[in-house]
Amino acid sequence: MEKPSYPFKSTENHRYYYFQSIGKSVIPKIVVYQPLEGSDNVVELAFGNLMPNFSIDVFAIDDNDDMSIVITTVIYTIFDYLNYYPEKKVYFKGSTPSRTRLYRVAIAKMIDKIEPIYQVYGLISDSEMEIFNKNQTYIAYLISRKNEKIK
Amino acid sequence: MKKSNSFEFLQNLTEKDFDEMIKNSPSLQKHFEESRRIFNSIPKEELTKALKR
Repeated sequence: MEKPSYPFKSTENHRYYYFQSIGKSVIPKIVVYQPLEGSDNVVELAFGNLMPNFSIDVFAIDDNDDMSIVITTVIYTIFDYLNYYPEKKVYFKGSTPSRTRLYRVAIAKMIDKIEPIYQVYGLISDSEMEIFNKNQTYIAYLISRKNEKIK
Repeated sequence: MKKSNSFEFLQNLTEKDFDEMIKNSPSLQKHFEESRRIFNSIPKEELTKALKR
């Protein structure tokens, strides 16, 4: 069963995505795609709350009780991003261990559906990567398109 | 003035506005540093497996 997610939009060059978390309050979430220094095709992703002082807080905790929906939405932005940049690989981890675990849960739920199109790697430790296994705990992830040509 | 949490407000932001946001975000910078540290510690052979696909 597909997990619910929020509708999102992106900036013109898709370096930033944004959506609203809706619950007890409306909280704007910003997803950032930033080239990883020293690597041609790898971009790193992070997301956080847009704060009143116009900063992005990746550690903010809020009362909307929807983190799994937020995480699923962030993952869907990855697929959209890779649609525009099929040669890129997106690297990410949660800002907290709990969020890293939620990424695993969300990916595990959709892996059968996305596996024909996307390659998902999980980083088991600082030194070992493997193709995503839903029963394994990871510290970070790498997602890329299997077929770089846009259909 | 549009509320800064409204979608309309966000849609009116340019990439430059978002670039400024990043500069203004210490927790984001810290997260990226940690994330990069982990990435850079991955042995080359492990990375090559994943990046060559």
